Amino acid sequence: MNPSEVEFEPWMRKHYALVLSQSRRMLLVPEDAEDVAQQVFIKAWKAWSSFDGNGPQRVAWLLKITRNASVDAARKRNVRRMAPLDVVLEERTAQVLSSPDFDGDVVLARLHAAISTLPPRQRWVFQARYFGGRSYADLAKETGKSEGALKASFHHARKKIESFIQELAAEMITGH
Amino acid sequence: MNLNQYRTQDDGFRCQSEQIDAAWQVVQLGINQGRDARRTPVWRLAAAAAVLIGIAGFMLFDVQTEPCQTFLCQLEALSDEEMSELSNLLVEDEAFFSDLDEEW
Repeated sequence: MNPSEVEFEPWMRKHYALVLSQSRRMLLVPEDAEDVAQQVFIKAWKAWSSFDGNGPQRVAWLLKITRNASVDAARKRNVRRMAPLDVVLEERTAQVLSSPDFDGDVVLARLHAAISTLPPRQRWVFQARYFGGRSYADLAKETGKSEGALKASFHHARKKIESFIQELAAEMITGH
Repeated sequence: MNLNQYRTQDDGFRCQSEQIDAAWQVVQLGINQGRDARRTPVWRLAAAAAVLIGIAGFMLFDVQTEPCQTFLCQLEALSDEEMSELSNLLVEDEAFFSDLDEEW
């Protein structure tokens, strides 16, 4: 192990969960999310010695690589839906609930299923705002997009998600 | 930097330390493979460069002897009327795909 690798390993271990959580929310399939997270750190390693920045700048840089990799992977894996939306939502909700790394209830699983049906960029904005709690200013800085464009993306995503969750609530109340 | 500032709502997904260990093994493998790849012998690089130069030379020769084989050349050969038809088709295509695209 060279000196850079000695520094890199603990850094990766410290930030792996942060990267994995973002790719997991973006891709839904655990194996796909792990692949992306690992690729992100291999990419980070390649630029590690040439990166000239402090700790927070490195984390911001890591999040940026994660976003690019997750959005790209989501686009590649975004196979056109052949089944009706309600069937897709049911299947993906069941998929999340049966994942060994998931520790949530049916509503949260349904939320992830609903997020997975959004276009990749809307998906990224939604998860970064809702689960990541990141400000529009922060997201605008990272993406180079205007806050207005990001707000519009989040607004569209939220409207779609709300309708999916309302349907679930109606199903739960009526019992079918 | 407080990383917890990024986590406001629990997404329900958990990351175990075994997962991190396994990921580190994969990343370390990637690091070592990259290092090995950088150790490519000079003669192999020179051979690859010679092949590339050969292909480029052949393509250049081919383009020079067959002047209207490229898309650009064919585009330049179009009449004004044909070009206008093509532009209309492209505008229609753009309008169609922009509906399918995302906001940004």
